[in-house]
Amino acid sequence: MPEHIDVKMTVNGQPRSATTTARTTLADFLRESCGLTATHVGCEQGVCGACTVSMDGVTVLSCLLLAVQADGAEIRTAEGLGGPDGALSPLAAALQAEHGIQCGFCTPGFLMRGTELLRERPAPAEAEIRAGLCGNLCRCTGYTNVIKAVARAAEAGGTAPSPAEQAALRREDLRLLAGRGEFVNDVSPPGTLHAAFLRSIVASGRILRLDASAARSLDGVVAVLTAADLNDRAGPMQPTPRLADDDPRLLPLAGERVHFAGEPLALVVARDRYVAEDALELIEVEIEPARPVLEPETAAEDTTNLVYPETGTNLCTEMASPVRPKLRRALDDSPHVVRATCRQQRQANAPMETRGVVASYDPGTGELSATISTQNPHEAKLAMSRVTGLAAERIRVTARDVGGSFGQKFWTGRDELTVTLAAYVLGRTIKWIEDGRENFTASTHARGDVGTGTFALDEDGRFLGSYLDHLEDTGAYPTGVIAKAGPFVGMMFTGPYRIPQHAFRFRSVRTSTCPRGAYRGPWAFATVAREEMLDEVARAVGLDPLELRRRNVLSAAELPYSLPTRLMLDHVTPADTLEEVARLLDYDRLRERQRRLFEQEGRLLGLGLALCVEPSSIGTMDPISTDTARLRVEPDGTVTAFLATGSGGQGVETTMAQVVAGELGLAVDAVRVVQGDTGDTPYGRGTGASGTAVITGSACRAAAGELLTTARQLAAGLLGVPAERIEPRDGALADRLDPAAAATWAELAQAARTAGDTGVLEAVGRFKAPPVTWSNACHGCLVEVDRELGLVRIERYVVAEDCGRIINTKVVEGQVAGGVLQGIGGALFEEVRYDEQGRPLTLGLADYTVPTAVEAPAVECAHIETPSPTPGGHKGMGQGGAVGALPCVFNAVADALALVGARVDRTPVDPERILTALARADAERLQPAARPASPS
Amino acid sequence: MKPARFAYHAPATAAEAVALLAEHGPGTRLLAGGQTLMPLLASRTVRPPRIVDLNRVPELAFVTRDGSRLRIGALTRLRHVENDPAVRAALPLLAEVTALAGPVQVRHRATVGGALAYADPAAEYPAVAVALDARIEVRGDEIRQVDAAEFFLGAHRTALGATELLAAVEFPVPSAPAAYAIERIAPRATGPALAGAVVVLGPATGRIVLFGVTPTPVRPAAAEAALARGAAPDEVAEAAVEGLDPPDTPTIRGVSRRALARGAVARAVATARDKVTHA
Repeated sequence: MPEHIDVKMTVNGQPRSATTTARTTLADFLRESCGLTATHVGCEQGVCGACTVSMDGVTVLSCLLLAVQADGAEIRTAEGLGGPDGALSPLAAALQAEHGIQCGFCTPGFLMRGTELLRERPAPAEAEIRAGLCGNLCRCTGYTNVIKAVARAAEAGGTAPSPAEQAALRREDLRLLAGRGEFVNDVSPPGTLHAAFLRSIVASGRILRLDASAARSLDGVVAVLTAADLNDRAGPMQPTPRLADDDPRLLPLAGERVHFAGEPLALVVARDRYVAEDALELIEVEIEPARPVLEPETAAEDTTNLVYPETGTNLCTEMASPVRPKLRRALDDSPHVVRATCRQQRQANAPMETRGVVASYDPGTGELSATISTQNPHEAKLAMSRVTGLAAERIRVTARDVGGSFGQKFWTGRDELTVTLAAYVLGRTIKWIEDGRENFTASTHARGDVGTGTFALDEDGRFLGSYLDHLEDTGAYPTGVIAKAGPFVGMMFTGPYRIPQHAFRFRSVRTSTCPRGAYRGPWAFATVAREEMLDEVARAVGLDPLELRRRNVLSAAELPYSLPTRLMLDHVTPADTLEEVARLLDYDRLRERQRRLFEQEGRLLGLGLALCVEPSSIGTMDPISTDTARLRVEPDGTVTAFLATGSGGQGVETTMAQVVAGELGLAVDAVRVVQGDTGDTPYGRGTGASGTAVITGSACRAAAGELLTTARQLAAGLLGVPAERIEPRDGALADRLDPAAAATWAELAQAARTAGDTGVLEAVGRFKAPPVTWSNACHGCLVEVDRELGLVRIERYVVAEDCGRIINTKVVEGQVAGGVLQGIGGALFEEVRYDEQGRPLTLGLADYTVPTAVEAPAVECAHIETPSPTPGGHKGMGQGGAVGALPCVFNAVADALALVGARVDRTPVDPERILTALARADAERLQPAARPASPS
Repeated sequence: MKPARFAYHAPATAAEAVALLAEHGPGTRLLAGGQTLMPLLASRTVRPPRIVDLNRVPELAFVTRDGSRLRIGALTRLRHVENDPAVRAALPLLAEVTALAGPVQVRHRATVGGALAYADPAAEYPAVAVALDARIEVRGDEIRQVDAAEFFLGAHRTALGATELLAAVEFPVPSAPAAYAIERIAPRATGPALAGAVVVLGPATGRIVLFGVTPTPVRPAAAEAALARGAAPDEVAEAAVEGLDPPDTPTIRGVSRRALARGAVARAVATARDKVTHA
């Protein structure tokens, strides 16, 4: 059988023929040989559904088909769904109207499957839609709006957007829905080589031998780079110098020791990814295994078994605030003193698009250009400059569309920098697309916290003080930002409650595991631990969890409120959101129903609540506390906003255009946003840490203010009236006193060519965030626990949130619903596991069970708009959904289990943990004399 | 995550496929729907030197009803089985179970032969084959029939020889429709079941088959006896898991899995009886 095979197929009505190999998947064939990149390669295991195409009239997963199997077939991809004039298909239009799309990476798969579903079932019931989409995973939307979109498209082929919907439509969607998004893997300059990492399968050990000679001589291999080739050429690899934790030093490839299973040992650069992976198998490695450090709770005290023997300890950071005498007395002598433990499992960000970079260095020009999946192109550029030693001005970084990240791609990772360095050293163009297994074993993990809280309360259940002992598993290579963010958990632990005294100890400990990185709410454990422990306190003191919260939640009259750790809390509405959730749930009636169904039928319903304050737009974390926007008026009178942000699902191109248009009195369509390109945009903070609305939005407002000042002068000159009389009106600048006198922005741009200082009508604005801009929310849910099977069904899910003035309600609700589903995933399903030798057991989306459309509840969202004191009155809210949902669902499950005296103390509360808790409670009832087992 | 090199054959007949197996011997893998094999190839967990693709063997894809027997070719797609009028009329349980075997995109491609030959302990298909007294047609040098109860030898192990292929499966069609139920216990809509049970109530006797708890589908005799004498679902379920001791795994302990199997049986028995009552 020859290696090369000619195949012919019809793709989107066009005949296609190409020579391929037997092992080439249909997904790769469509992308590489046909140039049709809407078909996304996500998990490559047939789990995520992003590669769904239609073959001979039925949807299939193109990563699980060989191209040769499609020889002679009719294939349709997402590029082929729209009308010939580029019109969106009915489902695509409905997805846009309903905001059933965020990052857009999974969207082509949903379009393919959803279109088929509508053909088979023209009027599908909601349950049919959910079941029909369960093979397509989405990490952004929470599915709610996707399901609405399918239902909408079913109604007479979809209804046109209402005027209100029209105004909120995301402009990102047009390219994404047409299959014309540009994700990093869609970028393939001529001459692109493909890289793959050899990774350690051993968690800890000494490298005895690494022989790459056979791999180097394989046909198609350009280079095999090892520590000996790259490490000496590498500059600093810290994600950012200002947040760096330089001990231990990060190097491109492991040379002497490995510190976790997944650590990179060598980098193969080859003609294509298939050959690169062939070469990996030819590299001979010998590692003398050592005992890995896997248990954070014992690792902290361990001085003999160390991740880094030279450091003498596994402790990475330790910080404690003093326990003052007043707090000591409260914790010793109060009417109620309750201790509770909370364990949050190790999780994964699990973006649908893995990490990736295409780096290109031209020795002739001395310029390096890179496309990278990142939240932060400008910091990526600086990191690439540091690692290569090239001046930053010689580097251009682009990031057009990013398929989800949730913190993982905020700082530029070791692997992306190693590939960039390799491109520089070799003077070539190298593409590295992380595969699903690498994303789950070698990128970054998240969470992995243990906290023990002690709470002192008076007779009435009012808090007198609290103490938190918090331990964070930071993995083998603590990324600087996280080791510095950990203490924030203790600092903001008391959150929206009146707790007059508080102290904490924070420790982060190294283990022989994948490094811990940022994930949606890096400070989440403050909320998770507090809210879960509060329910434990409520049970201990005999109060309803709602009542305990009512007695202790801060009211508007108490604001601004200085937390015991001196953080100032202001412009928040925790009491209002709590009452709103209680009202929406009809809390008292649900309590009654819970009691009745338990007494009459033995059923276990549970109610959960969680209050959350989200420290958005933190002002003390430069470089991400400040942003700059540049606005330019084009000759045709439209305005271009140049921003340092990126397109990762947050709808920044839309919301920032709304902000600028609002400030300048322009139609939204008259503002264009350019982002994700360091060549065009001013240095800025990127997209993340719930900072776009407040920081980037305020920078846009500042720039718009500057622009108006200049434009007023020009308009005054054109209209012959004083500048003070000029104001925006109907898309122009007009004389306040003369309805007929106005200068269009096109005329102003023209005037600037002759009258202005620079010939261009433009302005730059900057905003530095105040210390913290808090948003807040209350989550509430009703669950039922199946006592026999340990399964949990969420009956209702309600969020009342206050993110200040809302720019785009659909975008806000999309962030909430998507975050909530991530929190639910953490509460019920998701866990990253290792075996006792530190080998990863969670190798991809088949093992890391994120929720599907079937498990996702409809999320009801209520808004309270209390302006923040920042220019637009906004507050950041990208992370709170994920943070509040996890304890909310956990509390509901714990509430249900408490009916029969069962207790759980860690997430996820999966069937194993629920059944074990129920069995233990049964055993305790049979032996009433026995002391209740403490949860472990 | 890309497959290693392999030699590829796409025979046009079953005889050619068998000949290729005979010629190249062990190590050659048959590729049917690929929904299980392709991920293993991509991760290089398996790396066969040679693949024989059955997808261009039309004679292996069929559903025929011949009086009291329903025959389904190994290459018949699951999606076809679940929608096939003959299957739905003769064996509604089979149609229902087929619809549980993964998302639509997977079922469009996955085959009956693959669902059986992979012998996944957590899968529904082998259990249903046992519950419905299926016979499996195996084709090598000669054609032989193997009862489903004899076909599954262990986790991912069957009575198929290295040079044989699973050609078809044949189900007896009951003269009167049987009441049935399947319970698949899983936290999510997709992914493997933690445990499950199939219950079939015939006019005189009943069948119970457990899956997900033992390496192969298992028929608990004591529970079937309890079922036959009309014992309460909980009692039948207790008998069904008597003596079962599934191993602990990283995600679930054996004792919990046993509890799930028990719950699955109790529910399946109740559901099946309910169908009898309302038939």
